[in-house]
Amino acid sequence: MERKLLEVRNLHVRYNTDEAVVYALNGLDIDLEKGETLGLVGETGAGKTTLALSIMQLLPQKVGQITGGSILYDEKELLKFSVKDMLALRGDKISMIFQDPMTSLNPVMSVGDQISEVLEQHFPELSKEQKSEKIDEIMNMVGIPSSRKVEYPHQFSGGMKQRIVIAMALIAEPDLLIADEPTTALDVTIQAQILELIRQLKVKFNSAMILISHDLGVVAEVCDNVAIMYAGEVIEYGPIETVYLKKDNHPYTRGLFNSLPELTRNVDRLEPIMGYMVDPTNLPAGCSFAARCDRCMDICISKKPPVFSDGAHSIKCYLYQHWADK
Amino acid sequence: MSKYIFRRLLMLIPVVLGITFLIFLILSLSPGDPAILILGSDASHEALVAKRAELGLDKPMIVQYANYVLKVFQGDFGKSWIDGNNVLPMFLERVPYTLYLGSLAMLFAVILGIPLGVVAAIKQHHLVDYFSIASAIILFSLPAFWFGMMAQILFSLILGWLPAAGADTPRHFILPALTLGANIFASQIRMTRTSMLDVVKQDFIRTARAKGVPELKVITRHVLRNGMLPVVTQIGISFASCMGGSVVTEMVFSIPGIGSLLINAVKSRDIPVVMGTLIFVAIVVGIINLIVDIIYAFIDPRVKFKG
Ligand SMILES: Nc1ncnc2c1ncn2[C@@H]1O[C@H](COP(=O)(O)OP(=O)(O)OP(=O)(O)O)[C@@H](O)[C@H]1O
Ligand SMILES: [Mg+2]
Repeated sequence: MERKLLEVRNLHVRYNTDEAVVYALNGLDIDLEKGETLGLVGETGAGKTTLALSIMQLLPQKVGQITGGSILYDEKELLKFSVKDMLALRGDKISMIFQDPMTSLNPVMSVGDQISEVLEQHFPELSKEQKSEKIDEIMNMVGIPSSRKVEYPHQFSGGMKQRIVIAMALIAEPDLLIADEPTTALDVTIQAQILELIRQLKVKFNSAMILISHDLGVVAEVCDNVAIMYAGEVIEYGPIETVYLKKDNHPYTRGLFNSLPELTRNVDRLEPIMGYMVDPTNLPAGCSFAARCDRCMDICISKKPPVFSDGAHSIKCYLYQHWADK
Repeated sequence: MSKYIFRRLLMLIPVVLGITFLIFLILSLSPGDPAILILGSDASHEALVAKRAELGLDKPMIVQYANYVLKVFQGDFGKSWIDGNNVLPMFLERVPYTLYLGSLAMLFAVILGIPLGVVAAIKQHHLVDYFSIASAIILFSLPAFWFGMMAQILFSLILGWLPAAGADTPRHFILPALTLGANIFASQIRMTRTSMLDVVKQDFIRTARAKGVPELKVITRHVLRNGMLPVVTQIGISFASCMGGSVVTEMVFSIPGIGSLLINAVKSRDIPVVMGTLIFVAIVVGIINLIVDIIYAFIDPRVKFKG
């Protein structure tokens, strides 16, 4: 097996706000190999962005706090990195595309300058001409005429802004790209284009990618593996083909599938998952999903389920206790 | 851009017309007869009638106004009713004092206020932050006349470092500028701090950090430039208010500027002087606003001159 690019183990993150302590990540594990694409799915508040920011070490200062666990990047502990080492990593080896392109560009700086900033930071040895050449190249790759690099963000549409953000994230040819719902804020017609662009460039630069989404369909198209998150934990993980077989799934994942409209199948009505996400300031002792689960057992209420695995497929649910005996 | 500036200057004309009309209306509706005011209450009836005719007060208000405006556009602001001097030269003599005082106060407030606001924002909840918030609140709530007098007592009477009143040398302007600038300084700190903290929360700051830009560069390149936008507006407003609002400071420190001219003219109902002063203030405020808008357009590419 290839060397792991990223290993997140038992990660705990919380937000200390004035009102309450929000337990955003509660023992989260993920693995990522070089070049792999992992889909990260979960409803709003599951902690997807929190995970991304934890890896980038960009959690809001003072409020966001990593209370336990480890993040190994290329077998080095990121949580022990100095500020300087982290700066060198960000934007170069690990880069990120944010949720909302409308607000993620500086309104008073030309887009060319904003892309150039990455080069200034990580490739100071390049001459002015070389930088300019690289910027032209990446802009053409994301489909924006390089003559427009002198323009400002407000002169571009939402989809074009996201292309510029993508250019910024990829110009350094990162080993790991974290795309946090890169298309949610965009028009449906543009979503597919942008996703395809990200996918192509990721392959071109041989980057690994974590694609955060709450769209199971998108994940199926783009990703190798999928991790389903619930209340700050990965409750199911496996290769796309296995998880999407819909044979063995966590009840929550099953709920997600059932709440998807399927064009090929005629269903009278969709079955949404009943109830609301658990209150992250007040987590239950047992399984976080127990309160909403239609197959909840006594043990689910009292004890947190560990991971049960069947090959590459793993589920945190007592329904799969028999996998442990395999 | 020169076309834009020209248009903006032309727009000052209706503004001045509107303001003068309003003042004319108010003054003509307010009780009291200027003729009596000038000649004294024991003047004869004939003398009063003659005076009113001389001042044009016997004509309808609208005619008076039209006559006045026509003259103003010829550069004739009339004569003071009190001492008969021409308004314009009297005025030009005093303008430099007010401009000088106002600029000095602004300079002091901006040079100290903005950096302190920036530092307070960067070191939020640290000692510097609390110190600058506290000093902003204190300075903001102190009335200028009190502050001015305390400064006079301390620096002139007790320490003897600076002159207490007058306008003969630049040294004379230090205390008045501090007095006039104290409020502005306080509002600069608050405005800068709030604005910076607001920008730091924006998504594009996170994007900059995600690129690996070090914190100092994030502040100077991304936060500052965006954070300066409301601050520039605030500077314009403060400077404009210095032009009309330095009355108290000018009185406390006996500076012969526009402010003290205006207050005396209002007290004695010397209408030509009042009108002239207010026209001047309106024009200066208009020009300051124009300068602010030009600076704004330089900082913010989203603002474009519709020339
Ligand atoms: N700065 C913050 N302060 C306090 N709580 C926060 C903060 N940021 C996130 N949270 C909380 O942490 C939990 C996880 O949030 P996160 O943004 O990671 O969710 P998400 O999965 O990205 O959701 P979405 O799909 O809406 O983007 C939520 O309960 C959220 O309210
Ligand atoms: Mg999110």
